[in-house]
Amino acid sequence: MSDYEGMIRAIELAQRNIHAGVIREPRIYFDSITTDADANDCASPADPDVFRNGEEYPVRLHAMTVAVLDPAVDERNIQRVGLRLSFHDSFYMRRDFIAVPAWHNKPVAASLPLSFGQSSWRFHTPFILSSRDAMAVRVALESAPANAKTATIAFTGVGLDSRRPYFKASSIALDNAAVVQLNPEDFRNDGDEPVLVFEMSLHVDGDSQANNPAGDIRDLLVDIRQVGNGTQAQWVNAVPGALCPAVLLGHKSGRAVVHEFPGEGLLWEPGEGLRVELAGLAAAGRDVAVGVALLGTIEVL
Amino acid sequence: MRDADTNYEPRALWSVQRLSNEAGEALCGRFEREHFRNGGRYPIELRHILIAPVGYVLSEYAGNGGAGLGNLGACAAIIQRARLMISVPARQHYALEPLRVSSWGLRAISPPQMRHSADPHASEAFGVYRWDFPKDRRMAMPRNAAATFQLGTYAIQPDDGALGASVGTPGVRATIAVNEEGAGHHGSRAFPWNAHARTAAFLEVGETPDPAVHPFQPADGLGASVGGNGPPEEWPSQSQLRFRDYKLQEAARAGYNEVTGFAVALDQTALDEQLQTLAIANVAGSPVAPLGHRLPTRARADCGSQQWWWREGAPLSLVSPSHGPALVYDLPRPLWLHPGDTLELEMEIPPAPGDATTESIFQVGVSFCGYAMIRGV
Repeated sequence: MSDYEGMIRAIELAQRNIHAGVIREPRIYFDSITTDADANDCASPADPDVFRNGEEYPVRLHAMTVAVLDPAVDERNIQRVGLRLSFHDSFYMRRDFIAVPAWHNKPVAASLPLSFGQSSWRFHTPFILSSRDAMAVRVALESAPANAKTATIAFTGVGLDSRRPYFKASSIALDNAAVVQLNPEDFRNDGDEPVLVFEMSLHVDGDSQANNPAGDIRDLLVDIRQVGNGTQAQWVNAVPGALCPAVLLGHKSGRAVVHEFPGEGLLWEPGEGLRVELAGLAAAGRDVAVGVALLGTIEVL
Repeated sequence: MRDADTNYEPRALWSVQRLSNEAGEALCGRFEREHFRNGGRYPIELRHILIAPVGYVLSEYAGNGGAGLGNLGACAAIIQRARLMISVPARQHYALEPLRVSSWGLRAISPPQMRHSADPHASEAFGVYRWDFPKDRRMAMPRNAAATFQLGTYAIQPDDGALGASVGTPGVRATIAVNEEGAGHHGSRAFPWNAHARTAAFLEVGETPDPAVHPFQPADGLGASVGGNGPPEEWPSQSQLRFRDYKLQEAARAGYNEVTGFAVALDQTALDEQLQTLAIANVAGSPVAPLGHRLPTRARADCGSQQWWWREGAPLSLVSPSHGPALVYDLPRPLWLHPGDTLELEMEIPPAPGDATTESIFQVGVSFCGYAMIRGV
């Protein structure tokens, strides 16, 4: 690139930065809510600040995902759970609790070979993995397995200059419930061009000693952070120490109920938050741990 | 961009046909022409074709072949070989060659598949059926107007007292939601969208249909499986989103709102469990079919044309082109049916090589989904 071309590009970047924000990065707001055993009561997060924008910049929420978290619990029980959101004294979709499946407005079913063990999330706004940047990805299993299970995390992107595809992936065998970090070098951008990362995939195998290799994506927990440029902050906002269940990142494909907010989504200014409430609509929907995640993008100006 | 003088309403032209043959011969059927006639005053733009097996209680049958019970899976497998010939009478064919269903680029709208290791009989993970209207075909709902969405009854066996009562309770719970955008033109600061919903609609078990009135009962061995072209007899109040419910749930509406679609969530988990007690060999352990394939529906608004959006009794799966268990094909170019126009639809299913079919009767439903263009109302 000549000096002139470099100058032109810097100008264009600066112009885009002024109007469109300097940094855009994914954000996940997650909590596990156990529906009340009382038919006449509802449940909400114990920590009201989980579903709140605690950062200094606005966040635009694009989607919500909901799923029964415990792999030992029938995932059909989600049909017996009602949900409502409230934001500045307005209810969505209405004051009554609407069964979670009725919120599902985006088909996400994957083909049979991967249907049970994979989630993938196509970011509403891709983020930039700059040169020498890496991703710090921590994973864990929901509970200690009888035999090791292999977890795989992958990011897909294109080079900002070359437009060629980039695929960064890392796998690790997990034989207990401890949190481990995947090798950051597997996610490092060793080139000299920024990579526009637009998709993330998560996968977990079944029991390594079992004949059936199909895993359950509800087994896997994850947290992500970009190292280098970016905000340096963890993407997952949850109660301290909690990782996000991978099933809730199945926005493009997976096993969660996915609700895409219409239009441009929901804008959270700094400090704003919303209230998530769940109710058991029938006996099987009560005393059930349900995960709710809000997926969005922070815009750092 | 919406034309200020034009409103849109969803429309579905549907029919169910029973196909039968002798072993080794092709299955043929011509759908009732009048079911695909635009009997209204307004032109209809058809955008999707939906195909689904109709009326089956089981998805698969765990018993042995031969004289096994009819099931949705067998019918669905047969549909793969189906060829459709669509024609406008005395004018032209949609295509010169029959359309092969297996060659269509279908829209991916199916729910996640069930893991049947723990619950082999489980029907669906979510049980959701949706029709989301595109932005340029949303229905404007003026102030004080309302919509109704009604679910009919379902049946399992002849009402001999042995099982009918226990299957009916607690039965199936439905959530019916009609989604809309905006409270007036401006929306609210928080959520510019809303839903009118009936959240605890319990479906009733219907009367055993008289074969003389409901001639289309598939040979699934389970007796009364309603889902054909006969008129549904019952629209229980408890399984409706009524006009009254809709109006009582007004948001802060200042003007007209745009209805963006509807969703029905059917929780048939209890029904799946209760079917395991049927005293028919090998039914226990067989995956249950989604109830939406045989649940009658009707819907309309009290504004605009005020017509039912489709002929009463359409199976829910045939009016759910955005999410559901039916096969959905998006027409590359819409079909327009002007008032009085009709379509002729023939389906042929050639036999497989060396065919030794165990099924001699299949029941298939086809619907064309689209939008009526309403002007001047």
